[in-house]
Amino acid sequence: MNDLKASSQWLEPERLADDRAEELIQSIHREIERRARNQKRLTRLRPLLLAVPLAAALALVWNHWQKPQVWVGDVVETQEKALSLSLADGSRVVASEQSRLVLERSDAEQVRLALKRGKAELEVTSVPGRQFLVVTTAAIVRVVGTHFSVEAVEGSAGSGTTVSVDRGIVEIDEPATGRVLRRLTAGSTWTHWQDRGDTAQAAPPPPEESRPEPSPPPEAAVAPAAPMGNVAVPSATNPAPSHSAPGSAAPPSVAELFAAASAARAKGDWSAALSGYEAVMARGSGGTAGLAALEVGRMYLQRGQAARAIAPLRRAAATAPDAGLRADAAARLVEALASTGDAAGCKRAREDYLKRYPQGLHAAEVAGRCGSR
Amino acid sequence: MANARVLPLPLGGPNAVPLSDEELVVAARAGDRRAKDALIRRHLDMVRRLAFRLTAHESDLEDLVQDAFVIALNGLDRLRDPALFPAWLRSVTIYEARHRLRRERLLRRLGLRHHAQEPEALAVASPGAPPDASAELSRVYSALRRINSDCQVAFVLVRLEGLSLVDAANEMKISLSTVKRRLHQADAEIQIQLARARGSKP
Repeated sequence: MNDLKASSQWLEPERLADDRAEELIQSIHREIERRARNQKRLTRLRPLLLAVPLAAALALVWNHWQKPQVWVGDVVETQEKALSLSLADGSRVVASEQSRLVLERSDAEQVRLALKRGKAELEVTSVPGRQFLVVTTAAIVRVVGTHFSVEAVEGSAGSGTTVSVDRGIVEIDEPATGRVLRRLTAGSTWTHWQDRGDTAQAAPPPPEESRPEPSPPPEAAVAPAAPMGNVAVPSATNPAPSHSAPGSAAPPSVAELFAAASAARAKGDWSAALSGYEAVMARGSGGTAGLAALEVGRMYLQRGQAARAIAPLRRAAATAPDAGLRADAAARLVEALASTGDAAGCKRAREDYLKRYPQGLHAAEVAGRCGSR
Repeated sequence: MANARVLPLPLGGPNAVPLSDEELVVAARAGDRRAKDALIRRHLDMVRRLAFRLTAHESDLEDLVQDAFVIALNGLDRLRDPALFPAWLRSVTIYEARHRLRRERLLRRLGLRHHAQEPEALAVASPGAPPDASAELSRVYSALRRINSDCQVAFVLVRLEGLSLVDAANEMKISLSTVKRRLHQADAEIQIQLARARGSKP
């Protein structure tokens, strides 16, 4: 190793003959020019190379947004592939393979999608004042702005429905009575199975607030001072669904009254709906009555009758079945008081809202009402 | 430099003052083929010798030389100081040689290149070398083939090319401490290999 440096002077490649050296130099030039040509070609192709993935991305986006649109009365049947659909309001539905869907109604008040068979996954656009319903034989799934799926199974042994909620909250109503069977929050799943011919098969027990409420109503005294007409719900022309035996004289439950009022509202029968909800308010004491009060308040507000909305909204703000609905009622109460010009009442209601729901959805809107703070 | 020679420059007549590397690089950057030609001719022997010392592969030597020139001349826009072209060319050659050595070892490890396919390990010294120098170089290169390629390059640059550690670090584009570590590793390995070759314990 010591003599290595000295030995390295003998470390030389074999001398290149002049013609071989010339050949090597020319091959270097040729290679430089070949690579330069390739580089130029690549430069020319670069826009195309960029355009291809861009076009693919655009196609994906286009495909995502331009899903086939479904109109009222359309029947969608899928065979071996799932199908993505969009509704007029922007809601999206993915119908799994072997599914059958019918869009029964789609307007400002309600979207009603009947799932006859298979499974549907939904991304629902939130529209204030509009109901979004998915109907199966076993359940009516009511939703406002959420992501969930409904699966309907029809077999020789019976039929079943499974509802899974990814985001938001959905309510499941019993089709026959309209009463709330379950209120599902994000991450929960509800399944119901009914054997063929077993009409008495019970769904899971309803939550406390949806059970028929005792009669006579303990809150009759707080019923609206001027109830509207057409209180007769159910009536011969607008019967409320009931489990009662034919001919039974039993009065409709609070839940039945509420369902009938909702049905009337869905049909556009404003006064019947209002009367029905007011009847629920008059008879009920629990969450259903609070919900009815909220509906009454909202309907009066929509009609520009803010003064009449105040009392039901006050009641809803206190008794609606969940905090979100109570906050909604409290915000609408501020709106109603502002509309009537009751500045002092408006400010009190505003402060009350902001104290109770400082991070509420309507906090910014409420804070801007009733003039300066 | 025993058989170094000056190839004729294509620029100017016999009495013309040769252009500097810096001037040639500027002209080559502008697309002057003659300037590129002059750079190749001027540095061809240097690149061949360096490539040979790094790899000791006579058969692949021309490929390596060609790639080194093509990469260096096509990348002239990245050369900040045109006067540093020779150092830049050496760095490119070293980089390419390391790349080939690594690939060679990988192929050998995967069993895709057999020892029989390797170039003659002992024929590294020039034909006129004294027998003892020739034997020593042969032993060293046989040992180098068994060590890590990065260590091999560090060993060749410092022990055979006679570069300082700092220059070797610059040409390999690595830190001084990394060169030291690789050189130490190479020295130790070479000692072991040479001792084995002599039949004695290291």
